[in-house]
Amino acid sequence: MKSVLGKVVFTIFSVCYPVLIFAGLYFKIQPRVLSLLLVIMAAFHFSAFLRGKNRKTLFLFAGLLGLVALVWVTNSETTLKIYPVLVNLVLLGVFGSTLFRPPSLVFRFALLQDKTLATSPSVSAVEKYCFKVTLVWCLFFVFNGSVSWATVFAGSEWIWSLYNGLISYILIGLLFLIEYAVRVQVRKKYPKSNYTPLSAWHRRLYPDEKILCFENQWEEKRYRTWGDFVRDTAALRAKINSLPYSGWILHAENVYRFLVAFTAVLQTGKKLYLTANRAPDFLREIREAETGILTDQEIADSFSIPECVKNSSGTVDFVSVSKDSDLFLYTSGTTGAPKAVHKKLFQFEAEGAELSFLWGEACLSRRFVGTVNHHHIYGLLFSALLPASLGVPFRSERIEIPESLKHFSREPLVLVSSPAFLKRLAESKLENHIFEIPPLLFSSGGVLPVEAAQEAKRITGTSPAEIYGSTETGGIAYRVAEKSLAWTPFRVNRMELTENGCLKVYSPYLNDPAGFTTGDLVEFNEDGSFILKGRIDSIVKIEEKRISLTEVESRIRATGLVQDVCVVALTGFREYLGAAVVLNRAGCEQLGKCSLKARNDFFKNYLSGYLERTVLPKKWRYSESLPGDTQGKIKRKEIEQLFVKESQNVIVRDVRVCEDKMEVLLTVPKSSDYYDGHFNEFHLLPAVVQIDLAIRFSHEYLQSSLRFSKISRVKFVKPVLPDTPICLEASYSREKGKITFNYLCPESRALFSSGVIFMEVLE
Amino acid sequence: MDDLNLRIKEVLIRALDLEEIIPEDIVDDAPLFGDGLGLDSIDALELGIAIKENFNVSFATVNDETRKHFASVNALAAYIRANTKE
Repeated sequence: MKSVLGKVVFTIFSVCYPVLIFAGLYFKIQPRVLSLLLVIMAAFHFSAFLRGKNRKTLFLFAGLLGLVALVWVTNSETTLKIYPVLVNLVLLGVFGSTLFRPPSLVFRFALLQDKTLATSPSVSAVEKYCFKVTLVWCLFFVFNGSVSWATVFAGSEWIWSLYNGLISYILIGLLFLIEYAVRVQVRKKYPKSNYTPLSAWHRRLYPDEKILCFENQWEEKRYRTWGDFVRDTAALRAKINSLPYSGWILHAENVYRFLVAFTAVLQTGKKLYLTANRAPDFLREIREAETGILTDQEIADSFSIPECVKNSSGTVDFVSVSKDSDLFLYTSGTTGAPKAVHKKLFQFEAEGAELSFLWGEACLSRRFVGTVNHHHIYGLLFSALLPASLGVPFRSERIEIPESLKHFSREPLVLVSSPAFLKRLAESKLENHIFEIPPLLFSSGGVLPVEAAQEAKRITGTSPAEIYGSTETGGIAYRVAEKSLAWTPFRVNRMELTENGCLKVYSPYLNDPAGFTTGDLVEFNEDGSFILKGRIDSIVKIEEKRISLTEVESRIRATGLVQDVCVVALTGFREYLGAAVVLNRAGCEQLGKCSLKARNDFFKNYLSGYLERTVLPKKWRYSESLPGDTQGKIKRKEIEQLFVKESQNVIVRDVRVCEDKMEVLLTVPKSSDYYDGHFNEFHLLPAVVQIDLAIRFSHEYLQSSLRFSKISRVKFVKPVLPDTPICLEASYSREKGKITFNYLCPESRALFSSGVIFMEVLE
Repeated sequence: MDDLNLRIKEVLIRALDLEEIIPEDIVDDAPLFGDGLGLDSIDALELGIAIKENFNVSFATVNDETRKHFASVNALAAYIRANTKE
């Protein structure tokens, strides 16, 4: 109360300052005496400093005292009249500095006034508008200060006090009025959305009978309403509050139960950990002390959500959720080790606001169906939080099999999907345009191959909108590949290129104002959109030459003959690249019957048009598929093994080939995998390995067929010990597909083993 | 096939870890670098060392002159013959 009174007195005092000075000078009071007015104002600032410890007011205090000192020294009325100029300068400083250090001052005021603004879909438009208003005010202070300065030296006290005591205030008032009128007009242009972020949910957000979600098919009318939701969250909240845990791990397959638990935990202010992985070992790893588990699945030592809400009764109120609630999500990370990412609820809400700005209206008359896991950021946002915040019904179970989309042919859907789903959809052979009303189609989680996007359009009638982002950053940009391959950043994100060509993002979806540097290499277009050029960790140096593995891969893909490819950097006697290739149908037709050398030559010749010799892959592997995990991420380490193993397991010392005969001098070192699990106490080169090596080397040096038919005779005379030099002598009869082999001691020519193997003869 | 040429090819294949290539694939007078076998300058260094070790001949620093000797298997054979003490 005291401080409010002080402010009022101070305002009246400073507004009347020109009039008081005018009166003082009129009555011939000494400027030195009049400077007491300045001292009083300085005292106001000093007391404000003592109360709020705001360093800025201390500057004002010091400045005013300086001015008083100046008046005492000069005893001139000019110095007294400079005060209004100073006020303008200070205001210019306060307003102007925020132009360079956003958010602008006017936007800060706006945020204070309207708490929902930060999460409103039009926040960035408002921010831009406020920036302009701040700029206008700065220009006004420059103008007003200049005129005020001129009146100081105009020589007439009357003009000085008329301008500074009246006209200047009228101008300020006019500017306020004009800005208000403009604001009213501008506001009409902003889209109206009924997006309500979770932190703004309240008991009467929707009528009780409002349908929140449905099970299986909409027509089956198995709905959950807002009333159910409020009752269930209240019941679960009561249960949570009765338990001593400070944090909760949540895993619920059913989106409705998930949302109930999600909301209830946040309402209690406890930490929430979302995990899609419910493997016991994983849960044990992430579970801290005093952390409980909430689930709708069978998990040991957990609380069942359906059980907790079963007997819900009693008071049915809705407790609001703090937008600063703590959430943790798990990503597999590029190394494969699970990594917890800390998020605050407002980050999701800001992103939901932007999504509803872009697509909210288009979603309104539809129903959300997800194919992705809602424990990860994309699924959480798109198939749980967004529909509930927009009041659009969602399906409480995921769709896993593309064929089941047929059952939704008459429903207007928002289909929240992923490259994994759309790729399978492309292979599903569903007929054209299965939907009466084409769905709104989203894809995120990885890059969607252009062919899969085309197939998705053929089947659903809609080109998928792809979202590019990560758990750490949230959504960064989006694109519809059919229109443009370039990514358009979400309006609220600011993009920057780091020194090494990576994308850096500043975003309200981030907890950190210092931004987040991604591992993605990008190239910006003039319009601010960008092209993704691969991962920074895909850049390797091969004998001092920098090359992006992704680039080599896309060159190999461009042959049109491969279905999948992975290029890895390897070190042997030198640094080089190796390429693991899965041929597609066209590739098999063209190269399937060629020798390996001819295949390699084809790819090398093709690539030599684009790449320097040093970075042409030197070694090639062809297989049916590449090792990868369920999310479709290729395991590079395993691919490297495809190249390394050979040389580690077998050391080839010499090879002599003469027509259909060969002699390979080799040793199998003790470290070789070949001995694993085969007489652990006493290593012997297993018989299967001897046969396999005979087949492999015959294929390599004698171009024998690789298709095994039968072993007709085999004899093992003497065991082969680790590190013993052995000579593999073999001949190949092309017509019969017959490999005759002997393993010998290179010096004594004593026999270790011998045999005859028949391979299938290719036409 | 000339015995020396064959040996050079075997050294070449082994030293440069060339996969799927047998001595017969290498044409005696075809260029080793660039289009022919697709070898690069790093391979040239490796090959120089391997030739030195296996045939007991040495090369001065790499210059245009030495590069000529690496032009093909025939050129290498000629150089080795000229520089091997009987």
